[in-house]
Amino acid sequence: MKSIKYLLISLLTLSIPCHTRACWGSWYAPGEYYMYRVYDRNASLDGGSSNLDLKSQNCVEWQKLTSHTIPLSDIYQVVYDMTLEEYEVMHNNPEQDYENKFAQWITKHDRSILDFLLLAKTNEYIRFRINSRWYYPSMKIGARMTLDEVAEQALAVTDKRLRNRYLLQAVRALFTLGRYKECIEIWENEVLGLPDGNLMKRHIRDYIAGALHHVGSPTSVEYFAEIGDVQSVLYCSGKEDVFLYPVEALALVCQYAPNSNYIPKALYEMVHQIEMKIESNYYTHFHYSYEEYELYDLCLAMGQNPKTENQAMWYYTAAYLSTLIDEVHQASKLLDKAEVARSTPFIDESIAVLRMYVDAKRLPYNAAYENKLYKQLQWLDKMIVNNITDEVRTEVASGYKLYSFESFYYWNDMLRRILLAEVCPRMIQAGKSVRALQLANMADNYIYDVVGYKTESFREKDKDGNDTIVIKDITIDEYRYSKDDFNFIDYSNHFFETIDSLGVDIAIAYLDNVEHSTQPFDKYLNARGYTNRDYLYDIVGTQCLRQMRYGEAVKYLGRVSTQYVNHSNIYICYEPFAAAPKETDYIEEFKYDFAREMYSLEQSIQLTTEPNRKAQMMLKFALGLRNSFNWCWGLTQYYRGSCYWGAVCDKRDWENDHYTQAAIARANKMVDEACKMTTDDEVAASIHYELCNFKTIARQYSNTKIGQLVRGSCDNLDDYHAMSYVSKPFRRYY
Amino acid sequence: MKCVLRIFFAAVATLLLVGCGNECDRCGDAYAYAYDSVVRHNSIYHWRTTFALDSAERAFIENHNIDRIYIRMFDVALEQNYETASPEIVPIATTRFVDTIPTNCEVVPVAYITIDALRAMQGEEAQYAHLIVERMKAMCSYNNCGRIKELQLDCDWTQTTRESYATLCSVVKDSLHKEDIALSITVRLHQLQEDPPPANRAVLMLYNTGALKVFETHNSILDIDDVKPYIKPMKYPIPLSYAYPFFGWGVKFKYEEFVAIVSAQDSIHSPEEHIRIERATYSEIAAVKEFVEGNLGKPQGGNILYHLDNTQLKNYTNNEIDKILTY
Repeated sequence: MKSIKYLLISLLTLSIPCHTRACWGSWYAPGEYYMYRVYDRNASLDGGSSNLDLKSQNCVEWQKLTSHTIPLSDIYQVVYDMTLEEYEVMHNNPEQDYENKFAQWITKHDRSILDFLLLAKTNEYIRFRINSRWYYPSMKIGARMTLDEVAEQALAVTDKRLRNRYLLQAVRALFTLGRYKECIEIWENEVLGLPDGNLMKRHIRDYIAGALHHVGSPTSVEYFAEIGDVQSVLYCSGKEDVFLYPVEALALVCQYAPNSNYIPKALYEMVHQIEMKIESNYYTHFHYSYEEYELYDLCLAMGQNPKTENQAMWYYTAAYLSTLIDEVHQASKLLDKAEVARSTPFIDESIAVLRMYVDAKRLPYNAAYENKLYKQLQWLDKMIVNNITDEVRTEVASGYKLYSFESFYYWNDMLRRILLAEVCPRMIQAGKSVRALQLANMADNYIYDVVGYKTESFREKDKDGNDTIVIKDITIDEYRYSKDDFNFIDYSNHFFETIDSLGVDIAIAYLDNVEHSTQPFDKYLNARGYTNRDYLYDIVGTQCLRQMRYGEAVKYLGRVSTQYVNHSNIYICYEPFAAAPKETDYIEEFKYDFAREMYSLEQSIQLTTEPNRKAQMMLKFALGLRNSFNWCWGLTQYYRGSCYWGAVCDKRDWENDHYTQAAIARANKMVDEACKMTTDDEVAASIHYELCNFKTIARQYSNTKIGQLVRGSCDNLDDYHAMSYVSKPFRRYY
Repeated sequence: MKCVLRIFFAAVATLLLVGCGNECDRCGDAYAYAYDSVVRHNSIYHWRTTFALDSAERAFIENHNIDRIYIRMFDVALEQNYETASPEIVPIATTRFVDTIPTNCEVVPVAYITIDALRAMQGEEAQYAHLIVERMKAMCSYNNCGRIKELQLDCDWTQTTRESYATLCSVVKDSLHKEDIALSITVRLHQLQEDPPPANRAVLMLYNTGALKVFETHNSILDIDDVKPYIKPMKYPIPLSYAYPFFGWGVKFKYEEFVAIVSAQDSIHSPEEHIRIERATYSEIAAVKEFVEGNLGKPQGGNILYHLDNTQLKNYTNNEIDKILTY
């Protein structure tokens, strides 16, 4: 019973879809990249310096006020890590030198900053003590000033550079003292007019919401809503004991502050929660419930609300919610509204991405759609190029996220999501496999071209002759032609898997398109994919070998340059025409040599009429054919085993692939025919000897030279029937 | 044979007492100071969250010559910080002073330390000792409680938390010693046989002696049969006062399972429910007093009533109250 329970629990666990994490990191299917985007998650909500939290932004502001030669870490250490006691020591010892450049600056060059920081630190110290739950009025604070003095001094400073900072300190002190009206006066007289992105204004606004509430101002609820303090909004609305779903709380915020900077973040989190819910219901059909419908209705209402500054964001969100339950036609209608509604450039970009996605899911794949897709891709291409950052470049050049296709760059993620998950499969269904290959190639490889280099480690000798690891930037072509490295890029991506599975005719058609097409969209796509001829000839040639089209294999493999030969991560270490595995030296052009030999044998078999000679050639051909799908599988495949590494996890089981089955059937038939065809017993015996059919030799050809050898050497013929190296499908024919 | 055994046990007991006396002698000046400064008082606990006395309560204090009030100032508890979501040790249920302290009454501030808080402060006892003392002194100062001569810690410590509590008491005692303030501790019956944590005085709590939640319990507030097993003839290492219960309540059960403490006037709503009315009667308190004093001696700091609440105290006559306060 226990084991049944265990089994059931295990199966349930396995049924939960998850991003598997092996040594390559998270594995993403292209459809799993998150698309919804209503605010820059790397930037502050109020449009301050991007990529920085409030403390770091403050350090940047201090750097602007002092010197750009002062490291931000030094500023952070002084502003945030030093205690009040340390400040007092610093203030009282102006002659003291400091290694910290910011400390040195404010003690030697600009003591007004030190004065300010000492006051701010004192203020913070007192407020910390007072706000502690252990505090009780009349407890000793241990500071040299009172909060009243802090506020008084802060308001008295007129230094324009530091005025806003002093105002914040004054508001903090006054608020703690309960002098709320004075806080509001400062806000209205000096702060309200500052730009919204001003760091000090953002800090002060938080206190003003509370101050307005304390003086009984009805506008306090708007301020609380503005900063997304839902609990305070509820409190001010007399609903503190009411349970609200997150969407209902958001609706409340929207009621009072329809343009709050808090809204995009809340929307993002809600939509993301829904996406995760859908992922966890992967195997069951997901239905929207109360909350999702409420959110959808809220989006529509806010889209129509004349007070909403960013109506497009709401229509976009409603459209996105529709796509999550595959209502793409409704999504398209909502996007129509979003595209003409009041918006921001940021939301316009998000709308454009969603439009691409909805079109890809909805429109018929005809010429009109291809034209539209062409334009959409040109735009997305521009976004990829224009928004790339150093972090993205570094990740592409040396990281592992691209190998495992983890999400790391929104624009490239979206290219991949739309093309690989939506457009390519539908293009193939529509019979446009070449177009699908072009698009998959761009989705996989364009980012490498944009970045243009790879960072790789090399083993080199140092001056003392010892092995050492050297990190170098090399071009992407150097990487692809390097003999030292395993190629992690080109034989594991979606393009490769697609071209490797659609059949050689489509591969040839694609190659032909790459080489000869003059159509603008073709040229555009081919220019953004990896269309190196050596790479493509090798793929096509290998597929020809797989489909026993040896003449064409010679043609394409013969075009692969000698510089590229043997750069596809595979090699063979056994003789391709031996009956048993027989190790061989490194063969540089093993595919081309093999193709030539097979083509030659194929021709010769057709032309030869002498049965014994023909039988021997047929046997060699059959062995080569068998081996090219067996221990010399590198001749027809790029990987073996269904648990292969790389982005595309659904690998083919080559041993049961129909090409393999066809090849084995042909090889076996040829062996049978060869055996029957012989008229010379010596030749027949030699064929059976090659095939290790010792019993047959002993019984039927015992008078031949080989028969004598077998009978004289083998006590038990089965002992010499070396089956162990023969793969299962072949055994029954021996 | 019985006679020989009695002589043997008497000899052993004498040796133990002599040994204990020697041990106390070695404790040095601190104990000498504590003993010297002990003055007997008529005392009462105030164990509510608002210090607001009605006229009856003020009259009670005056009529019974109560000259010392043990006021619970706050509990030290473990609570989740709503910002960090991690548990933190904080003061809760701080007493709000609405009324002034009756004239001529000495205030002994008391802090109740929950066992969870005590466990959580392990290794940081000194830090919390200072916070507790500083806050109690600030509360006394802010609310005009007069000169503080004694401060009390109340904690239901056990063997596993004894060491931590001793560290806490030690730091508190040392910091108070500089200001000529004595530290007193509460002692529950199960703690009586243990060495006391470092303190100048102690109050033996002679209430809540039984198992409250057990249906079969006769009276969980005070039952001499529950007291007797814990009390043997002995001299407690530090001066001891006794606190007696002057309150009552109802203990509600459903299907003989504990539900809640309710008021004595509460009623049942279904046949499965049962309310056990509990109150220590004067005769029960007096019997316990006689038994305790017979074994542990007269209270060195006087007797303490638990607690100042006229709705409870009115159940006892003035004469009964005075007899219990008498030392």
